[in-house]
Amino acid sequence: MKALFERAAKRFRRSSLQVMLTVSFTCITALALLAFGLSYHVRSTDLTRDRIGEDNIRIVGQVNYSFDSYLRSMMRVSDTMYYTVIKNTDLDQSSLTEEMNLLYEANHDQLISIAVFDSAGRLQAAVPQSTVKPGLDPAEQRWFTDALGRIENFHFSQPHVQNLFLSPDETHHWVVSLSRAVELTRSGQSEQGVLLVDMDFSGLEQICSSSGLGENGYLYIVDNTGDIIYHPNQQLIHAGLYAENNLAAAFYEEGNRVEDFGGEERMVTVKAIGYTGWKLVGVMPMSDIESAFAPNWVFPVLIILLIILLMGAANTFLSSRIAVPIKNLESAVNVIEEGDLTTPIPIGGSYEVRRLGGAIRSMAAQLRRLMDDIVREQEQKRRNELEVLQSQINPHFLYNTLDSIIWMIENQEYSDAISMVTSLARLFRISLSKGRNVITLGSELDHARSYLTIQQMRYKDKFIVRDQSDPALNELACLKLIVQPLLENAIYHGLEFMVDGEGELTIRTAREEEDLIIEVSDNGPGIPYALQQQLLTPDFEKNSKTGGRARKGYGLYNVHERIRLTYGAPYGLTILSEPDCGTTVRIRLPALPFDAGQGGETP
Amino acid sequence: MKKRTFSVRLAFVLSVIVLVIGIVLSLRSQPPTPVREISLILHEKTTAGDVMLQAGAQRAAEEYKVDLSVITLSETGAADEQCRLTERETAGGAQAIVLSAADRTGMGDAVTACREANVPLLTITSGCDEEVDAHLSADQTEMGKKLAFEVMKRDGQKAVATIVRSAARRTGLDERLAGLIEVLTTCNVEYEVVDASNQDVAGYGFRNRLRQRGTTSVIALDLPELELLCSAQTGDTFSVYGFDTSSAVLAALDSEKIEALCVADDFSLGFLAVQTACALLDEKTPPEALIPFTLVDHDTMYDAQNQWLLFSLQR
Repeated sequence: MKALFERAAKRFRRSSLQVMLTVSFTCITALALLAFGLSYHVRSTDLTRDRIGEDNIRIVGQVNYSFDSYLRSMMRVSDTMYYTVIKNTDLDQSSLTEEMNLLYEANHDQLISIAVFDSAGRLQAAVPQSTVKPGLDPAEQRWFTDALGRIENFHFSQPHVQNLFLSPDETHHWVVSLSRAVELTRSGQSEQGVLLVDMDFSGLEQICSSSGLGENGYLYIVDNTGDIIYHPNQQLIHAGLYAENNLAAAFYEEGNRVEDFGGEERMVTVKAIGYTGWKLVGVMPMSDIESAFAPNWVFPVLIILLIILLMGAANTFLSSRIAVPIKNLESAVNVIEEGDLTTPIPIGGSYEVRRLGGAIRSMAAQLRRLMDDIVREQEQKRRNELEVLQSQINPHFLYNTLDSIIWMIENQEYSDAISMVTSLARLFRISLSKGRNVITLGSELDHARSYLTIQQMRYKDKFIVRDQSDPALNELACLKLIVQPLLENAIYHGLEFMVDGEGELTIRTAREEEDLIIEVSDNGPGIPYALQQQLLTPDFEKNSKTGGRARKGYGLYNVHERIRLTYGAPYGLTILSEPDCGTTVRIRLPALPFDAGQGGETP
Repeated sequence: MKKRTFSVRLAFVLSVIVLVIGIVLSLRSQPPTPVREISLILHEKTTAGDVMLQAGAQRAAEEYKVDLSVITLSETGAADEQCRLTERETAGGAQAIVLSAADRTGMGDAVTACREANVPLLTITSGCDEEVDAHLSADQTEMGKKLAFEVMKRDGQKAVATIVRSAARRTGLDERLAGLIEVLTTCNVEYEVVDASNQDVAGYGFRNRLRQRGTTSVIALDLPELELLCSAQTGDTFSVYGFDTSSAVLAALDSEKIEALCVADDFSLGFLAVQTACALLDEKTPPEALIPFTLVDHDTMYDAQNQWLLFSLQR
């Protein structure tokens, strides 16, 4: 079971967003519905049970009221008979029969008989029958002994078949006897007697039989000892075919309670009946209450299933509205991942998803731009490197230098020749620098010195070189072949037309905080300001190479661009020139220690 | 994928349709509990002697939602008529027949009619020789024995009994007779069995005969004879005993014209008869039923327990 649950959870975690949303929302809805349904069912069941309990109390109360009225009417008959008739009659002088008869006729639908007995049990008057069965002693009957036993009370007997009078029509009557002690007057003397009013038991039956306590509910009456006075299944109980919890009910408090009897749960409502000490007990099987819900369980279950199904469909639709734009975004991102930055990015769905789509679109566009920039930079770098490479093996310089060497050898100026050859070798060696683009400042300055040595030899005493470089900076990293072009420009554009010996070329290195400064200065004619602005532009560089001249261009843009490509925009060349005051070209590089292992690329 | 989507949608639509149909059907009101129709066919002309039996049957009819028809014969003991009535009731839609057989051998047509109509037939008090679905009765043989013992208790060794039997050939009567004879024979009590069809039980001649014979106790096996014997005249030297009750019999018992009765609990019998018929209709095993009986006389007829046995609450 656990493994199954884990498998299902694993599968759920791996499923798509739409499936997760649909399943989650549907499960939450179903759980909420079930919880609501259950709690509503429980609450409504409790409420219904309470309401039915209250209804039962009301019904039993109404029956009790009817019962009470009935009993009081019988008691009124007894009172009327006693206080109006018996007390005002002297038995030796007049009879009770006539007035008794009137009273009987007025209530004959509820009465079986009215009778008066003396304390010995001798009949004084009775209606409608007036002859006691021979051999029967009324004084031995319970209604008689109870009446004389407690003279202040009314006494109600258990229901029984009347066994007092001779009946001409062979009928028998079930009665409840209401008896009381009375004072009879005989020749002015009082003596005790008993007034008996036999009530028709069917009157009680009628009051209790139509209880209205549900389909299977009923009412019954018990006395204070638990004996049944009335029960709709009274004869079945006496026949042993039916059982009732009457003995317990006699001691129940008034109100509702739930009892378990005979394996059946029942709601029992108890109300005490006044004057008699009896209790009216209403019984309603709990199955009658629950049957209000039981047959209908199908309906709420089907409704819940239908709602879950419809909610599932709605959740599927809603989750697709959320998930589909994300899926489309995901597909587009997959395409981007594979390298196609031009794929259109679909933007749709909720605000957040649209924002995300917009961001991905911007990101893709930026990526495209960056990649284009990188490509452009790499191309420029390669072009610059190619130019450098080309300048490294400038054939004219080589040709002129070799020519000078041949001339020196021919003129047996061997030491100068050796010096020039050595300088040339050093020049080319440093130019190559094993393919590295970044070398030490020391090597770059050596390269510049080698160049200057060759040029000084070629342009004998044309200019002097002042080397004001700081040896402490020689181990800093420097881009290759950036000083030589400046020297070349200074020689060819600054000093070429100066009088021999007046030309001065200065190389200076310094550190300004985190920057390395290399300056090449000449005391030439200077560069016009307008030209200064153009020298570092690519157009000037391009235009300077046209016309078929081998090296007309200044090469400054190349150097400037190489520095900027390598180290960034804050670095590069700065031209400081005043006409007739000379020119200083300043190189600004970051002061980085040289790392031989880096391969000479960008720090 | 498209096929799967179509299948899912189809399943969804079908589920919704099924659920909606289910909801509509569940909203229909529950059909009322069907009422069963059961006929109770007595063997007598009137219902006077079966007041308690009918009261019990009616109570059971209320309890088990039965439309009970109580049918009497035009002549007491008319077995042919009883068979015709049984056929009429089965053809008329009765779902079960409860029969107090008028004649043990003459009920073949009734049994056949019920069998052909697939209607359960059960007999009460008196059965028949044919096989029926159920038979309910107090132990009539034991009742006979009990009454015989009562006769001997009251009359002592000088008891001389006359047993009056009717022409009706009912199993209940035969069993009572058997019980009486068994005890009387065992106790060496002189007895005779008289056929009521040959005697004017109510007449002076019969009474004179009894007096001449020295009969101390007359035991009526059946109700009509008992009622006739109730009209005892002054000077009768015999006591009357019997088995069944009616208002006249109870009045006679009350006035001590009848010495004692051995009475079965007819209320229970009537109730259990309908209950058993319902069980047969539900194809359930009928409950085991032992119908009690008791001896009552003038002094005990109004006892708390006996009055429930003898006097019906129903009007």
